[in-house]
Amino acid sequence: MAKIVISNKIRTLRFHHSEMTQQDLAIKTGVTRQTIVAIENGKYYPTLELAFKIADIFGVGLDEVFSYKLTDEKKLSK
Amino acid sequence: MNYKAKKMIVILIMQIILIIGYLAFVISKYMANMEELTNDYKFWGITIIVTIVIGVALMILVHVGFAIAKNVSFEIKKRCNKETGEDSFVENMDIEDEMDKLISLKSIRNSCYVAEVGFVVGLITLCFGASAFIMINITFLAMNLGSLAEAISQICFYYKGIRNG
Repeated sequence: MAKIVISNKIRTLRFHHSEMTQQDLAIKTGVTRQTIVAIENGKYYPTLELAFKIADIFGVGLDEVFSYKLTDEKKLSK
Repeated sequence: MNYKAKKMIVILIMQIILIIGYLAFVISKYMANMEELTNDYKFWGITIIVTIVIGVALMILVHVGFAIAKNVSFEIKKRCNKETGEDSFVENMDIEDEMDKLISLKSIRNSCYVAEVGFVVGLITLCFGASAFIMINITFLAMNLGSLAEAISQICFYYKGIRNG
């Protein structure tokens, strides 16, 4: 069974937003810095609510922050 | 190392010491008075209740100790930040956010699995004619092992990460 991997560009977006720290992003989203670290390192996939908050803080759409792919690179049929 | 992971490691060590202490006590008592203790359910009841009370007291001590250490380090960091002119905000390490709640839920689930298996094993010993005190001890130890499983699960999840689903 194919495994879904969700990647993100949070580190890049933080850098381009006045070099925002993980702590700042954590305060703005209402989570701990450990959670932001885990998300950036792909160790935790955020809930929809948190994902939308992060995208909203950077002023971009959800698909510009997060992307997913199947590990065997098969695409799901729409 | 994560503050919560450190706390779970201390709790894990404390639980291991408690289990070893309980086993050492009951085994030594049982070897000395084997025939009497086989049907002395009052002894087993009192021993298990006292062990539970000691366990709860130790947990309270761990939580209080960590709360004191957290508050002291909190104040020290705030003062250091003020002196260096850095941002005085210091993160409250005891906040439980969505990742912590998910880790807690999955750890409790693992703990329940271990306790359930232990309970069933205890019942199976009864089916094979073992004394009831063996079943009581297996069930009690299974619950303690469940707590160990919960602590180990939390530590693993904080290190390796956790996914929804």
